[in-house]
Amino acid sequence: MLFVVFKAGEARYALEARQVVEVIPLVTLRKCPGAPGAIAGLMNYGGAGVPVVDLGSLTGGMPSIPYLSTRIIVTHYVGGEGRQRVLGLLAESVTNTVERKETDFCQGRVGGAGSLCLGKLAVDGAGFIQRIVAANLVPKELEAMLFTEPEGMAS
Amino acid sequence: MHMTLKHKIVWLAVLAAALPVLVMSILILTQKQGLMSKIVADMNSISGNETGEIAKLVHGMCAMSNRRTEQRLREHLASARAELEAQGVITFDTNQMVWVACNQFTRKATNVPLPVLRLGEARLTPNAEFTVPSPVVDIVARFSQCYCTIFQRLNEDGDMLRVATTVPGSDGKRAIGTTLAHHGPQGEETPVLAAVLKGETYVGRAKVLDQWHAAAYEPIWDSPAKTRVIGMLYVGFNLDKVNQELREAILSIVVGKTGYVYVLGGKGEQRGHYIISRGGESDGTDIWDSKDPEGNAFIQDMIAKGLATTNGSIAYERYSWRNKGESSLRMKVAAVTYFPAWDWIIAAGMYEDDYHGVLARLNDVVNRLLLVGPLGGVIVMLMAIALALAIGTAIAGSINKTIAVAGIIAEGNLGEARRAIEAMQPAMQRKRADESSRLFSAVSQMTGRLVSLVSQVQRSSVQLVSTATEIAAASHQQEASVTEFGASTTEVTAAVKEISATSQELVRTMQAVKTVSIETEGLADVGRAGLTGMESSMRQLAGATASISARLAVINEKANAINSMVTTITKVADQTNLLSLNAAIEAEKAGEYGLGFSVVAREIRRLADQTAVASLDIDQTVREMQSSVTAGVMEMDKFTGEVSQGVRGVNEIGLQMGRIIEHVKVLTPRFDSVNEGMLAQSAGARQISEAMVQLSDGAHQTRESLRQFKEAADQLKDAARGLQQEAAQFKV
Repeated sequence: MLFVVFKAGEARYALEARQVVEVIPLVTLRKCPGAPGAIAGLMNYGGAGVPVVDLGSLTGGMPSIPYLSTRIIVTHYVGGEGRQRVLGLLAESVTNTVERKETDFCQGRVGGAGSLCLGKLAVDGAGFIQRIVAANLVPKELEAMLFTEPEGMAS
Repeated sequence: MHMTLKHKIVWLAVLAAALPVLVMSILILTQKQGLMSKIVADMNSISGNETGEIAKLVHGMCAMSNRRTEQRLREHLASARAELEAQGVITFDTNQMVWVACNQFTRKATNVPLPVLRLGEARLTPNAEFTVPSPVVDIVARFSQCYCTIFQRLNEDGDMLRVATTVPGSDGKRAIGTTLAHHGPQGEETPVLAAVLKGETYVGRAKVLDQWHAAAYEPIWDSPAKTRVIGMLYVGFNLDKVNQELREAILSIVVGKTGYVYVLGGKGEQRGHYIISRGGESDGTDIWDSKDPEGNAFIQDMIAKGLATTNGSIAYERYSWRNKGESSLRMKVAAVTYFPAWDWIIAAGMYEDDYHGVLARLNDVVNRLLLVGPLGGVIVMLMAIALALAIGTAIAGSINKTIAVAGIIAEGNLGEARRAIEAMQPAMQRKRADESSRLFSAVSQMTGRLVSLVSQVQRSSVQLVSTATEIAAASHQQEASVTEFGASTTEVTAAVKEISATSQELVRTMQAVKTVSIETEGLADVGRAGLTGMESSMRQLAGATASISARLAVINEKANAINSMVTTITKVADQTNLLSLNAAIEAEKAGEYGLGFSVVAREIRRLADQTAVASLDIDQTVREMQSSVTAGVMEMDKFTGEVSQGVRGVNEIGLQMGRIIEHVKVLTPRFDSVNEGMLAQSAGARQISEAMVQLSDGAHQTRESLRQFKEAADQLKDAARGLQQEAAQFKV
């Protein structure tokens, strides 16, 4: 299985490539005043407003710094009512992929803020890589706030 | 030391009287120590001999007493044996009898069944009462005045049981039923049974029911075979009673003045215990561990020495001891010998200080001799001094008077000397033959001749003095005037010399100043030339600096261009990475179809990463270069400013140097003219000085001859006056 590897805060994480729509450069985001810190804003994706979650804020409390390698991973997201949606994830060092089998990951959750979305651990030459489960990325109470676009806008 | 004739005579007498006394005292003192130590040694040997003899005597007494006792025992034993045999044949009854046997050592009572011993018709059954007669033993005891016992053999080991006895037990009854074991508590053989079981007779000391007895044992054989000892016969008596006489004899012996004889146990349980002590006061006391103040266990020493003696030979032990009732320790010497039959250590001890009285008396006599000798010497010496004083005064008197007259003559008082001689004339004529009177007459003749000579000399010397005085006065006046003239010429000469010296010094100074000014001119010329060279170099330096600054600016521009290129490369690499990432994701989604594609995507991504890293390196290097160039440009600007300032300073200095040189050049000819004037002045002064010196020399010569003349006159006057004084000392 192929995983996209990135950094959020100090730790490294992996997201399954099959869940990724594509990786795009960091575009200008429209800020959402009043939204929680983890919501970086809305981006214009194919003419639709897609919410972008800053994984740095979500996992470690530190917003991602806008380097050249800081990019947005566009993922499939299955919402609370079973609807297919698209979600942008803002992360640092989104430059590489890694090939791992399901069995390479071992149980052992390292908890923290938004720990619901954190999965099992694997190891490569640079240290631990923790798997991200996209289904749990957005807290339920935020979901209603983020995805309020008309029915036709969902992709 | 200065001594008069009288004192010498007195000292001679004193020495003659004092020396013999001194020598005698020294001799006594030196001999005293030797004499005393010899006497002490002699006395110690006497006391040693005495104690030794006494110890031998006591040993002899013991031996005699022992022999007598043994003889008595053998007689008693013979009579007891006869009595036993008179009873008849010794057999055993068929009946057994149970005895309560009490071990002599352990006091343990055991029931022992034994066949009853029969002596003829008499059966030896237990009989503890003295009122009931026992066969054999009662008769022997009555006739021999001793104890008698019949023992019956108890077992194979040879232990013996008292079956009939006259020895009383502790309860006052016959001590039957007690046993005598062959082996002691430690398994050692008792000497009595060792002898008897071998069939021998034992005569000696034996412990019978806690008392030491003089004892004799002999075996009783079975009859008729006589092959086995079935019992034994004993006779004996208390040793203490026998020894009473001996003991009193020993106690009555006095060794030396206060010494005494004492006896100690040598071995076994009575080792180190008093057997006989002084006056019998401490009998039985254990003194084995006694120690003297130095910590020597002298009793143990003494017993060891005693045990080593044989056959009454003597050993000696010296130690300090305190008797009961005495306050201090006294040194004691003891002669020790051993009497083995009774295990007695016999010691005859005497106190060394018994003889100290004699020593003290001897010491007193010698000391008195030391006191009386010098006292007599002093008396003789005083008498000698008185006698020597009388004789010395008589001899020295007349000589002293003549010496007094000679003293007066020596002072020059001749008239008084003549009067003294006339006064002594009658006394001296009385002893005409004496050496002192002849000395006196010679002195009186000498006085007469001296008086006439001195009178003549006095008269002529007075005339001579007056003549000399006149001459000296005349010459003195003339010398004073010449001296005055000489002094004034000398003053003038000195002044002229001073002028000459000063002008010469001035000439030298002017020459030095000129030399310096010429040197200054030369140096200034050189300095100006150097400054001109320096100015041109500075200008060239300023030009070079400007061109370097321009080139540095070009480098900076180029670096900026490189920087923008690197940024472009970095952006391209980033785009490539993004593309390859998305390509890889798409390939994954395509599953198996995308496999080849994913490899290409990964490779592209790797190249993009390498490009990004390389461009970062270039960027870093260019930035460093740029900062260095900027710093260089700033430094060059600053340097250029300093150089142009230097050029201005050098120009100014060059102008000032030119002005200095002009001034110095004007100065030199003026120095020359001053110098010439000075030289002329100096020459004139020298000429004046030479003329004055010649004048001064003439005056000096005149004064010198006058002074010589005056000195001659003074010498003549002094000589005449000296002669007059000498002559005046003699009063005619």
